[in-house]
Amino acid sequence: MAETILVVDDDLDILELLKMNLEPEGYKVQTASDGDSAVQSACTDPPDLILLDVMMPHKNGFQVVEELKDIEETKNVPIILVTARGQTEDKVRGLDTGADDYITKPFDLREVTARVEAVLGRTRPIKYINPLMRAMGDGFSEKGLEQLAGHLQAAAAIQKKLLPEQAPNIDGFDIATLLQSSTSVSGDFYDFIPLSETQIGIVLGDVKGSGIPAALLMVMIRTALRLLCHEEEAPASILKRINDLVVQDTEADLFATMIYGILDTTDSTFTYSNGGHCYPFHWTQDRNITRLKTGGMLIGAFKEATFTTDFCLMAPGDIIAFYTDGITETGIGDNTNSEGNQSIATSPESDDSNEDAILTDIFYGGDRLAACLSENTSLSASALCEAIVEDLARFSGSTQTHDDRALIVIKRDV
Amino acid sequence: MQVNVRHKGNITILDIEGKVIGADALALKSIIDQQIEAANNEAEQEEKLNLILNMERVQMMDSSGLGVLVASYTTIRRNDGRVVLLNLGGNIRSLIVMAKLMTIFDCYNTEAEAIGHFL
Repeated sequence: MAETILVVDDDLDILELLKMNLEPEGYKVQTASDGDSAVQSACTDPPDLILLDVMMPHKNGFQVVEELKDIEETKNVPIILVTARGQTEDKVRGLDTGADDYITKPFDLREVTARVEAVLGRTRPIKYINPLMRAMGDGFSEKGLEQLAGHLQAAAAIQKKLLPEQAPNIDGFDIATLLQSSTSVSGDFYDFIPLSETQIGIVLGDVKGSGIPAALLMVMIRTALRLLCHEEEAPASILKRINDLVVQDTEADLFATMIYGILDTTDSTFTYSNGGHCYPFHWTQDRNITRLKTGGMLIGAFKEATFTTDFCLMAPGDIIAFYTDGITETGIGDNTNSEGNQSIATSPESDDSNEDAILTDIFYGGDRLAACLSENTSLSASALCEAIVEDLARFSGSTQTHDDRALIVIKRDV
Repeated sequence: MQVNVRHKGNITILDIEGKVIGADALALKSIIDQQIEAANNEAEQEEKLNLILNMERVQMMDSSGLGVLVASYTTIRRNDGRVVLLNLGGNIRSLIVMAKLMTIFDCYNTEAEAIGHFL
C-alpha cells in the first residue's frame, strides 16, 4: 500500500512542487493550503506523514501540531515542519510541540525525500507493531512500543553493517549489487568472502519468514558460511552443513533459499550449489541464457536435504545475474490490488497491455528479467542493475517495493 | 482466496481457491494450523491429521505460499500427520521444482489417488 503524505503550505507553487516530487517516489500526496483544512483532512483520513509549513496566515504550523497531537486519530502521525526561519528557537519550539523533524526553506528536493523516508523509516515499525500489540491485549505501554520499535531499528542497523557496502574489485570482472528493503529488517542478504588471491566466495540468499526471527536466521547463516567456507571446498558440502545446523536450531516456519559459489579468476569458472533459490542467469556471448539450477532443497527445513555442485565457465563478456524472488514476484501496481491495475491501464506506456496481459502477467517473472538482461548486456554491471530496477518500476508502476529485492551482477571483462 | 474444508473418513481435504499470495498465504497457514490443532485435540482416538491440499483452483501462488506449504509439511510431520498435494498447476509446480521439493511432497492428479495415499 502506498503511504500517504499530507502536504500543507499556503504557497500553491510549493504544494505543487512537493507533490510532483513525492508522487514519483511512490507516495500518495494530499494537499491543504491552510491550518484548518489541514487538521480537518488529517482527522477524516489520517495520513502516514505530514509535511507542514510553519509560516501560514490565521493558524501557524505550531498551532496545527498542537491541535493534531490532542486528537486521538492524529496524535501518532509523524510531522515534519517546513520553516523559512533558520532560527534555533523555532526548531526547538517545533520539536517541543511534538514535531518529528524539520526542514528549512529554501530546501533541496532531495533533502525533502530523504527526510520523509527517514521519518517514515523510524515510525513504520511502531505502526506495524501497534495493531499487533493491541490484538495481544493491553499489556503493552506506549513506552514499551517505542522500545520495541527502537530494538527493530537497532537490529536493522546491525544487519546493514553485515552486508558489504560495495561490491569487491576483482581483476578482469565487473561486479555490482543492489539491495532494496521493504521493511527495516531485510530477509535478503548477500556476501563476498575472499578465499585466496584468486578465489572469492559469493552468496545470495533470502530468509523466508519475517521480522526479527528471520533477521537472526540470516545472521546465523552468514556467520556459519563465513566459518565453513574456509574449511570445506565444495559449495554443496557447505550448504549441507549449514542446512543441518539450521534444521537443528530453528522452528519449522523459518528457512532460507540461497546460492553459494566460488568465482575463480585463474580459469574464470564459477563453481556453485543452489539451495532452492530462484535460478541465476548465465548469459553467454552467443546470446544464450542458461539457468544455474544444480544444488538441492531450500535450506533449514529438511534434515534429509542433499546437495550437488556444478560449475560454469565465464567467457569474456559473459554475465551471471543472481536475484531474489522479490524481483521476479514484483506485482503490478500496489501488490496486484485494483488501484494498481488502474494505474497500469491509464499509463501512457501501456498501449499493448490488455486484460489478458494483466491477468497472466501479475508477476514480473523470470522471463521478463531474462529479456531485460539480454537487452542490456553492453552496459556495465551497475548500469545493468539500474536498468533492471527501471524495468521493474515500468512494470509495476511504482518505485516502491513490497518485498525485499536483491541483485548481484557479475560481468567478465571483454 | 477461499478455502473449503471437507472430511472423508479420517482424511481432511482443503479445497483452496484463488490466489495464495502475501496475506492470503498467512490465512491459509492459520487454517492449516487449526486442522493440526483439531487433530491433536482428538487424542482419544489417536487420530493423526491426514491432509489433502487440493490446489486445482489456485490461480496463482508466490514464494510466501510455498513457504506455507513447507512450514505446514514440517509441522504436520512433527505431529506424526501426513499431507499430500492434489492437482498442481504449472505455476505452483515450477515453484516447487525450483525449491527442489518434488521429492518431499507427494503429489497426485486425482482425489482418488490422493486418498489412496492414506489407505
